[in-house]
Amino acid sequence: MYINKNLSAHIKGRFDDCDDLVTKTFPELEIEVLFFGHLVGEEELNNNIVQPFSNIKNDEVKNILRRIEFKQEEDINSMVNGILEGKALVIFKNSLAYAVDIYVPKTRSVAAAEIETVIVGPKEAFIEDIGTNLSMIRRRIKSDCLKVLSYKIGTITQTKMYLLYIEGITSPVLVKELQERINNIDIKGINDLNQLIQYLDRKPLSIFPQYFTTERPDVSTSKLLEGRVICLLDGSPYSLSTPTSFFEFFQSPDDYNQRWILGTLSRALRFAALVITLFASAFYVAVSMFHYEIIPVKLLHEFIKSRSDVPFNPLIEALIIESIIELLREAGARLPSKIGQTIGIVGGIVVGTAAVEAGFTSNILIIVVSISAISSFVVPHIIMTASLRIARFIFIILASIAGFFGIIFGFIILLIHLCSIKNMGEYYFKPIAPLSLKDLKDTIIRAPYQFFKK
Amino acid sequence: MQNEKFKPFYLFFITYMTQMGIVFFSLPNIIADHFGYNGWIMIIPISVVVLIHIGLIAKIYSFNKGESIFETIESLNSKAKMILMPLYISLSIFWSILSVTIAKHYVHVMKFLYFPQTDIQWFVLITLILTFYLVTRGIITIAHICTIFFFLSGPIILLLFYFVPDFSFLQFSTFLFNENKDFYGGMIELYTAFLGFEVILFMFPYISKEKSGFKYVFLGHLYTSFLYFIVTIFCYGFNSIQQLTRQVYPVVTLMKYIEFEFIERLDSIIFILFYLKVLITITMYVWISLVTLKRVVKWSDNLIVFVLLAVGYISTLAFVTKKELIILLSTLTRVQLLISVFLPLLLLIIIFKKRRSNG
Amino acid sequence: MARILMMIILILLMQSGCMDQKIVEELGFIHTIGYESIEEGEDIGKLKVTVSFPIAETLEQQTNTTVVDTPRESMLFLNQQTDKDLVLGQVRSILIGEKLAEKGVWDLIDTFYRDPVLRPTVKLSIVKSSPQQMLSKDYPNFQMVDSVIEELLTKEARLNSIPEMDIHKFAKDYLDDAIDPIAPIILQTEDGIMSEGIGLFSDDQLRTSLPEIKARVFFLLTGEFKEGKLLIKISKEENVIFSFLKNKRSIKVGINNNQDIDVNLSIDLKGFLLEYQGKKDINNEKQMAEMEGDIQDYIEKEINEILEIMKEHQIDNLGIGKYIKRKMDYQTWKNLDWPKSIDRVNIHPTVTVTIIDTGLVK
Repeated sequence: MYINKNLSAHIKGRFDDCDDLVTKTFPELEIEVLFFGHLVGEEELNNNIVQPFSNIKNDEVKNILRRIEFKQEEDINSMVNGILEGKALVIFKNSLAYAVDIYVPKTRSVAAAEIETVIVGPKEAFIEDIGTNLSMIRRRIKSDCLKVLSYKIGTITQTKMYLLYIEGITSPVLVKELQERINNIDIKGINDLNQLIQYLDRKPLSIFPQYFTTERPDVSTSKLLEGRVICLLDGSPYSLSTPTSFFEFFQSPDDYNQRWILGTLSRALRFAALVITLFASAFYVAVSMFHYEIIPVKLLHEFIKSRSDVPFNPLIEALIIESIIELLREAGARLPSKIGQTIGIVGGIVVGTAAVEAGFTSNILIIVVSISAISSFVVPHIIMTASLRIARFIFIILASIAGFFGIIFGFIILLIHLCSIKNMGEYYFKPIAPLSLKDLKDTIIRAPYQFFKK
Repeated sequence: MQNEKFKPFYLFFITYMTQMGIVFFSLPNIIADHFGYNGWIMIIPISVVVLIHIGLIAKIYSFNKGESIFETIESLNSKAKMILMPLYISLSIFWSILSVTIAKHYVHVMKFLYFPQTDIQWFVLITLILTFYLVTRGIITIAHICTIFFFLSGPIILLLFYFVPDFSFLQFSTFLFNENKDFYGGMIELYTAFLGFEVILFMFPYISKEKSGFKYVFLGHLYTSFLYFIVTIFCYGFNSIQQLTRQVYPVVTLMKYIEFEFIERLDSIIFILFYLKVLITITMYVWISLVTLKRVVKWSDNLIVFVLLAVGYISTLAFVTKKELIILLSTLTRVQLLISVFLPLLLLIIIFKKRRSNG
Repeated sequence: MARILMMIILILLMQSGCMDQKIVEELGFIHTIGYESIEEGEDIGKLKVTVSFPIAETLEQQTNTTVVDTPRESMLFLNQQTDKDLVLGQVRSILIGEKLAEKGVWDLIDTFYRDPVLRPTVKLSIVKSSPQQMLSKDYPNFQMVDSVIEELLTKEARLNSIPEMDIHKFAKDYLDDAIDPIAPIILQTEDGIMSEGIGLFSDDQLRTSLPEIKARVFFLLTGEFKEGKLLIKISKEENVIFSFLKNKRSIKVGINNNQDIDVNLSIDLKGFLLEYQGKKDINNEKQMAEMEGDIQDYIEKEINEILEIMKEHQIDNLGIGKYIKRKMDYQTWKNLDWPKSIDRVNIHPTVTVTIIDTGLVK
């Protein structure tokens, strides 16, 4: 749509009822500047627009408009979009339009990672501004092989998204596949990367996260170097990487920053935590409902003593306690951190002790449930923790139906499910299924770096 | 559609997981019962014979160059398909019945040992659902699952170290095969314990080409033999021979003996964990009956598997007691033994005929 | 579609569930079972079965007794006497009355051995007097006599005064044709229980018993006694406590013309003197050698007595048969009809004792 006359009125017409649109006029120069005051930087506005147009003569205007930052726009839609993206639109003689990018987003500054904390290693985390995030990655990979493709997601929100990969390491098929999926997304708007993931999902019914998100630029960088594709979304302090493996969620940068024995041991600890968090409560239910014979004689007395006053059957008992833990967790997450601690004390100590003393639950169960709750926090990625929590409830119920057989049944379903998930043509359960001994060195254990060399 | 292929090393896991079944728990008893004193020695010659049998399949594999055996059979004569149809259908029904019987047998033992009051059909149906779920995932996923199950159940064998202090060479004595009953029956019984390797015949199109890829089948079989051997040796050293002939599941008794500070009676956990292995055996037989029936009908995989399992389930519905099941199972495995001998021979004949006619 | 159908079937199945729930607090975990035969009164010939199980609330044990014809019935009757559902999965020991043991115990053991619920590590012991009295009596020093019995058996077995006998081992020795089983004997005293040596079985019948001192020598012969203490009474005035560190036992069998079987039992003991009461000077080398000879003689005498007992009852609880079996072919072994032919076998025990040290004081 090309309009040569009365451009200003047209654009203003588009922004009808948008009272936050600022209009600055230089009547003697026949110049009108349109922009959103909250999207542009004051200094940039001054330097690029206000100062050059102040105190000049009519014939000098053309010289200014020839400057590099003035980009002539001819399409009215791109003018409008330009304004929405934080550009100032300079309309000359009500017929020529120039866009000047003076976008300065008002976001917080880079801070330390809050969720994925590490003991040893860089502290900074992504923020909401995509440009800053991209710069954090560019700073770490100084190579022209790092390619950045730009997309707009959302028909209305027009959210900016970058797709990053390293040429020569990432397989082009993968990039193409992801591009296709991104192009197929048809939504009005998007707020966060974690929403985007769910649009990309091919197995929406699975309880497991199929894309790896991180708030740490160093992790994103290492994913890029491993041949993954990274996505950044404006307004979201996360990055997404794909294809994802189940075992990625059990890795922490600490494993790599510390010495390898320590790294390997803490991985082993995490897998032990995985087993405990999935099966501990279910095991308790199975033993107390079906397989009493496996209790050693020394524990037996304590076991029946603790169970003898409990009015519920072990399934109900376990579900109640697990639900209380979930309530505590949810309450803790919604409250400011200082009040959150109080919740922990009230919930953990007061309710726990009172429940046992009132004969509401057995204290062995309290121990079991707390250990499995603690174990679930050992898993470094919060999204995986949530998945494991769901699986745990399923296992508890299965254990109450058929004891160990129920647990094994659920376990088989879980494994078949995990093995059949494919993510961007790669199996989710890699490197165990398909088995790759080479990659095992960096998943189950963390071998010394010298071993990684080919 | 281009088949997805798996690397040959998966054959190791598939062979081992398919061979090993519930017979593992009763094998020392079968051996002691049939061969008497020092019967464990018989595992070696039988294992070698099985090795030759696998060699036959390996030969077919090398001649076939990754072609499916159905294509080999059908290439003989274009009209042969008419005769083959009923054969395919009966074979696939046979295998589905065999797999349901295997499932039923395991479930029966599990019920007897740990869930005496539960209805056996309940367990059977659950097992069939799992089988359905696994088979319809395709052979690649099955191969992957085999690998995981292998690593999950593999370390159990280390528990045998618990018995080293109680192990006594005195129990072996110097008699050889005295007090045996039905020596030849025992050999067949022992041979059927190794069955399961023949499913490899149907996997040719799915194995990605690699030099000496077939060695993994041999390795898988050797690993099975090793486990059978070591467990039988331990049972001979731990029990007296007369006692061994009386225990139906000596390996379960062996596991019951293990007591740790924090857990006792590991047999329930281990036996139920063995469900993984049995599930693979069932799945493999259902899978071969699936690929066989696929040559005849053009239904979706889901439907075929559903029909096969339903047929297998209904035709074994009447067999409930232990005695019936054991008779049924031993009959079926003997038939399967014949199939696994004659099918490779038939294939070899066809291949040689083809070669001669091609010059 | 089929998958959804399967899911529906699955959910329906899960509803029906499995019927084997055994919720812990509803169970009575039988810890010890006692069997005895009734010798007098109207129920003569029947079995008296006593079970003891812990009560969670008070941490005390409850004992129930019933009289039945066969061991299998007992659970039915016992279950009627209590609010708990009595289960056998946690049974730790079985006590058998002496009289019943003399009649034969295999039926009983076989019942247990067959039952998949029972563990094969259930301890087996013979009770002089009545298991019912032993289990139901109030003891001043301990609350739960059943666990005390179990601990006593474990401890004494560690000290090698009684064998560690569980139903698996009993079945193993009973079914084996080259050895006869043994079992520990325990005794009820005024305010407690004590171990009383080894009971020797012929097949499944208790024949005779060995007192504690002989029991230790017996274990020297089986080779199970690796290290420990041995009280040796050389004469009335002379007592030695010999603590040995090393016991090497070897059995050599020689067979001439399939008839004369010679068994050489040699035991090599090395150890030190812990206590000595007597007139000998333990620092004098000559007298020490004499003492070694005395100890040898004493042990040899004890061994010969044990062998005499075995020969008298035609039993072989030591397992000498296993060694003989190895030297024979199958037919000869079957013709031998072991252990009835044990008195035809010449057994020559040789004991070598070496005293390494006599303690810290000269």
